Formats: sequence, C-alpha cells, structure tokens
Amino acid sequence: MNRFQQNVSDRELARRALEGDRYAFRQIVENTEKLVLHIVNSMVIRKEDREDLAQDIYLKAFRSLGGFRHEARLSSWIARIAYNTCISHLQRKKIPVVPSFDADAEADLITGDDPFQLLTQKELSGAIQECIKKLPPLYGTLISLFHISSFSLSEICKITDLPEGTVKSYLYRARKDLLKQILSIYINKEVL
Amino acid sequence: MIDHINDNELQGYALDIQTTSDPEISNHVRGCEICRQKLVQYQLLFKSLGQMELPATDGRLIEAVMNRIPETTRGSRLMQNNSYYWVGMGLLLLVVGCFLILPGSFIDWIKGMNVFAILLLMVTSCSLIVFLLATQLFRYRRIMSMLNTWIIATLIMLTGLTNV
Repeated sequence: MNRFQQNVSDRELARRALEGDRYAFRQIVENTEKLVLHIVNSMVIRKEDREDLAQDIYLKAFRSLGGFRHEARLSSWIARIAYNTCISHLQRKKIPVVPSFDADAEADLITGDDPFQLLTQKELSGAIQECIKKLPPLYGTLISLFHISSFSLSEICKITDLPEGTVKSYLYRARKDLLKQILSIYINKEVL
Repeated sequence: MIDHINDNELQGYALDIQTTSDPEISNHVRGCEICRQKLVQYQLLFKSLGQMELPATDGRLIEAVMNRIPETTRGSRLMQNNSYYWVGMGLLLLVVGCFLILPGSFIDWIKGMNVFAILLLMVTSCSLIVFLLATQLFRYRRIMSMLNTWIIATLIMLTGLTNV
C-alpha cells in the first residue's frame, strides 16, 4: 500500500470513526496496536502500567480524533499520542527519560570475540530485546521507531517533538549503549 | 597513536554503506582491525534490529479499548465537534436576551462604545454567521444528494416490480 492509498484509507477510517462507526475505530486500533505496544514496552517497565497506558492512549485518540488533520499518517499521529502519554507517565513517576551523564565520557566499546557471529538469530533477538528494555526510555523508543518500525527521522521528530539534531544525537548514543550492553552480556556469559 | 574512526562516523557508515561508501573510511577500515570489528558489529546490530518483529498481540487490548469507548449513535460525535456552533448560538441568545430584558441600558451601553469596536463586533458576528450558514448549506447538500440517490434507487426498484 503506497503513502497516498494509506492516507486515503486513514482519512476514510477517521471520518467513519468520527461519525460514530465503532468498527472503523476498532480497525484503527487493530492497525496500530503493535506499534503502540512497542512504544509503551520500550518506555515503561511495569507490565500493569503498560496495559493501562495502552488503553489510555486509545481513549485519548478516540476523544481527539476530530483534531487529526491528515498531515501525517494516522499511525504517526497515534504514535505521537503514545509517546506523549508515556512521557507524562514517566514524569509523574519521576523516572528520567534520558540519562543525565554524558555517555561519550564512558570507556570505549569492548572489543574481542564477536557475539553476532556466535549467537543464533533467535538468541540475538532475545538479547537485543532485553538490552533495549535496559536502555533509558527515550533511547529505547528511538531505536524501536527508527530501526524496528522503520519510521523516518522526520517522522520521529514529529512524534517526539524533538529537533532533528537532538534525535540524531540520542540515536547515536542509544546505538552505542545498546551495542555495549549486548557485548557485555556476551562477555558475562563467556566468563560464567 | 593511531586515530581511529569515531563511533558517530562508523554508525553512519554502517547505515549507509550500500549507498555512500566513503573512501577515507573504507581505506582506514581495511587497515585497522579495531575499526573493522566495530563496523561489522554495528552492521550486524542494525541488520538484527531490522529483522526484529513488532510484539505479538492477543486481541485483549482491542477488546479492553472497545469496552471503554462509549456507545455513540451516528452523528453524535460530529455534534461534539460542532460545539463551536452551539457556543455561537448561546452567545447570540445571550446578546438577544440582554437586549430584550434590559433594552434601555443595553442601548446605552452600545451608544457608549467606540465606533471601531462596534464595527469590529459586527464584522466578527457577520463572518461567524456566514461561516455557520455555509457549513450548514454544505451539510444540507450532502444529505439531499444521499436522499436523491435513495429515492432514485427506490423508484427504479418500484418500476421494475411494477413491470414484473
């Protein structure tokens, strides 16, 4: 489905949902559920909180659907609501979104045997998922949006309301931290 | 001391290696085992991330959301979005009410107003009324067009049945 067809479809779904068609809104939830859960899982650690937040995100989307202006994809618009809801949740819980220390000041990457060559794809996926959860919430979200959900930098800027330079800088640090964590897990396993 | 390629450049190179091969970085990577290893690690990390799938869902979220969404009748949400219409009507009624209940003091208040303020008030009110009327006209036309389609379809069906 190309971008034009996607927009037409989004427009039609949003219009029908606004007219009170519950099936249209259900379709919107079905289309974006995985993305929303992915953002929530990247940003929030507690499982109970995640479930409540995911529901709150869709209730917010339902209430403010009239404000969707079709300037972006419906999925980007809902991703933005998801991101903002998670950020508010983290702020309420006083959980830092990005680390206060400078990641660049830390020791350089550990080099040695290459875990990517030695682990199976399944093991590697599991390790990466675990490491993403250990990253600061914003870093995990940026990695997920850019690398897994394949959003462009400009779409991520719209979702997070951050300047492009900041997104690039955070992405750079996030990748560096992620690689460092994967390598450290592998080395710890080797030691054991 | 050997100057290694920094992580930022290595990440960029790993991401764009298919399209923008920087000869300086390529030459360095070929001759430097540390940078080559890091580059390969980044490439494999990005490849693994790209192959990861979004979380599987069991439909519980959809059901939970749909249970919490209020039952709405067709058009009722549109009405919510036209709240500005009701606000405008309310303000109009308020002004008319003031004029009817307190005609003397209301006229005195109007007389005391600056000409520019009166003009501004009138232009704003007229624009609002024109906008509301245009919106209603557009909606009326759409409904009439739908009704026409239904009437034509019904007539065709009736004609067909009569002929049979």
